[in-house]
Amino acid sequence: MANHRIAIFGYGPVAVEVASYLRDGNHSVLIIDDDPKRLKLARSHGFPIQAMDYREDEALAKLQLGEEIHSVFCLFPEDAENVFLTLSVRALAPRVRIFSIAHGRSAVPNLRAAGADKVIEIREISGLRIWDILTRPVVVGILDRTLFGQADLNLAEVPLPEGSFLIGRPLTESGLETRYDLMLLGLVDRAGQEHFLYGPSAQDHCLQAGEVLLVIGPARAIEALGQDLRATPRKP
Amino acid sequence: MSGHDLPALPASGELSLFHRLEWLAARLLIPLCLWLESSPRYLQVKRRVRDLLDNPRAPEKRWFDLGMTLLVLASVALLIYSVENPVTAWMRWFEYFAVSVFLLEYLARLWIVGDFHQMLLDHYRQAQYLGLPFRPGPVLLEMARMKWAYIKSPLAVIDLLAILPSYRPIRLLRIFLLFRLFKLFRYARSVHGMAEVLSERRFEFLTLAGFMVFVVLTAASAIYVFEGPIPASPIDDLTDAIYWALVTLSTVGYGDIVPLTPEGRAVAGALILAGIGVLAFSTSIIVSAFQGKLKELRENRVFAELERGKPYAILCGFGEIGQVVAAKLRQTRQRFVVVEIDPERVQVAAKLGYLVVCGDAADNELLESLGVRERAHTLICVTNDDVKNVFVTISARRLNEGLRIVARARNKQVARKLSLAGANHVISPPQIVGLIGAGYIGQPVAFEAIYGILRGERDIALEAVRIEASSSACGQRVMDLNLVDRKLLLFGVITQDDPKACDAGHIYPLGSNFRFLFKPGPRFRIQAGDILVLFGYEYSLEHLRRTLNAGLFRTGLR
Repeated sequence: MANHRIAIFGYGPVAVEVASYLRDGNHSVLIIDDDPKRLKLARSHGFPIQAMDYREDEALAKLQLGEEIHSVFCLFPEDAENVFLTLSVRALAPRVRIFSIAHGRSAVPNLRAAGADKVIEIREISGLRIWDILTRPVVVGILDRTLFGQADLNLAEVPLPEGSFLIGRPLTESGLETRYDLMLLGLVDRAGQEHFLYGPSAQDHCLQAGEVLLVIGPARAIEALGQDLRATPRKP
Repeated sequence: MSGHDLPALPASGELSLFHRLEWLAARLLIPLCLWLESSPRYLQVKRRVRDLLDNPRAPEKRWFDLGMTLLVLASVALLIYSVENPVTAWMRWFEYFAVSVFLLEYLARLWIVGDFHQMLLDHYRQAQYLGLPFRPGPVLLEMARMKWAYIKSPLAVIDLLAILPSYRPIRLLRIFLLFRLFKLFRYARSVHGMAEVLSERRFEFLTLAGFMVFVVLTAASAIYVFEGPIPASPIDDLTDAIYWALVTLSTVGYGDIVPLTPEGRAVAGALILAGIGVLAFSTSIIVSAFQGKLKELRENRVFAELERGKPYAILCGFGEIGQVVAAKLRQTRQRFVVVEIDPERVQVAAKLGYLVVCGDAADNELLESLGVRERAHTLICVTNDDVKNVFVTISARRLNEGLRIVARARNKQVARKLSLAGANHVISPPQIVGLIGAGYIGQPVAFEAIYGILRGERDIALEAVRIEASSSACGQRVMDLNLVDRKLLLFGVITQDDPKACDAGHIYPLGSNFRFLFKPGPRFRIQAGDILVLFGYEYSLEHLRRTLNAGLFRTGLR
């Protein structure tokens, strides 16, 4: 993963924040823009930059999307720009993950149709966030300090590889809670990501290859579980 | 009470009668005032009367206003009925009753103007402090001036006129019974507002009235000169002429008096033209007065609505973010008021049925009249302008220490400033997107799941449950709560610092002396004041909350 990069198109106020969060998460970031002023700002923030006009497919093709760059963030201030970019990138690289912002509810379906994997409607998400703060200050505060903050408590998805020691076992016998000190929030079927199975109500579920465990815990514990799953078969 | 020695008669023998009287008055008044000041009962009664008559926020005033309105209407209805019907005994009694209520109200209103005993004592103590002889004269004069100012005010005059007609011998006074209808001004706020709007155009109306008087008198004199001497004309004296001029000027023109001579007709023609002008002018004055004030009148209704009932939230800025928040507030039936400067957005909010005030949230007076000081519990400041958000936050915090303030910032620097200004929570849209974006790139599936939970898009919720001191869960262990049976997942516990806690799990410090325990073990004991943070189905969480706090929770329930 280390040599994979994330391309951020458009270095506006949103991109400033996104880029700094991504860097905090040890991701390698490349800022792409056609405005020299914004590029200068990005350079002063210490990011690698590339001047490029996203409207030209030849230039986009040179980026080797899908090979070196696995994710694209479309953070232009105009919805139309983001739609155009999403469409171009999707045509060039069907496998690349595209994340885009929208500045109004009406742009969301357009961006989805253009091929974006995740669309964030910036105003709505802010409004909902205010709502959360008003109604559930404790929960929001705790999540901000732990899962989304600097504390060593992470939310992670752990895929179950073929033949790993957990395959075929019911959840109750997985030992995630006791042996690994992890909290199992639930699991997701890789094929249909919509299908989320909540941990406590799926105790009898037998784990299968291709499913993804959603666990919460310290980084060390998550790492340990990942290693054990890769080292197959595990002796009891 | 050595500080309140009664004034001694000045030693010098050469004193005018006035000074002697003044001394006597002080001698009598001071003990009375001291007694009043120390009587909680007197003060309480006065405060209650004030609430009843003058405090628009007091709930009893609404009932009082309604009762008085009904009484006024009934007494006027009785007057109309008595024109053609005999007056019976009970009607007379009712009239006595109504008049005594009005009289009582009048006296009570006069009573609550100023605090006489307080003023007198203040002066008295001041004089004692400075070692000067105390002279009650100026205080009494000042008090009399205050009361007189009240008696002179239009509403007080109306009140008085509504009482006077009960003095039957003066027949003309009977018409003043109708003044009772004007009393309704007191009890209906919207009427009050309308009168205020019109009184603001006093200058225009006075000009118009002056012009009318001039035209009427000129035309009346002219017609009297021309037609008065003609025997066939119905105009016999100047009052007839004035009556005719008024009827003609107002374009009513009954036609009971008509000019007969060509000169008279010429006067009539000129008067009719002037009449059209006067009418147009007065209409335009009224229309323009209301056009400017209709908005204000509507907003007065908003303020009145806010003054009643439970505390509410103030939402400054009705942009996209504000609209999302407002929709959520409405969805959960929370009381709130929107403040927005852009008239178009105000229209949108009004159309959606929100309480909305058009104005600048940075206006301190507006904030205050919206009740930031006492009636609001939350201020949500989400205008598009960082500078304004900071300003509003500072003003609101200054006005109310305990207010919860959520403000929006464009970037980190502003977020810091907002925190300094006193915001409890700061949200920054780019930061939220950054958080989501970074999380999404690392763990897309997990992230979708947790956001789905947080957004309430799944059946599962993440909730905090506070353990009160009265709760049955105090002192119990985590394993006693039967979380597995309830299909609840204990994410962690927020608790006070307690190094001796057993089986606490992973500890994350939270500020001063709180800590978050992630996944505490089954033997961890729950204390009063702890907050459990749990994943689970909504109904399951609700059930847990109910049982814990109702004290019905039993251990080992199988």
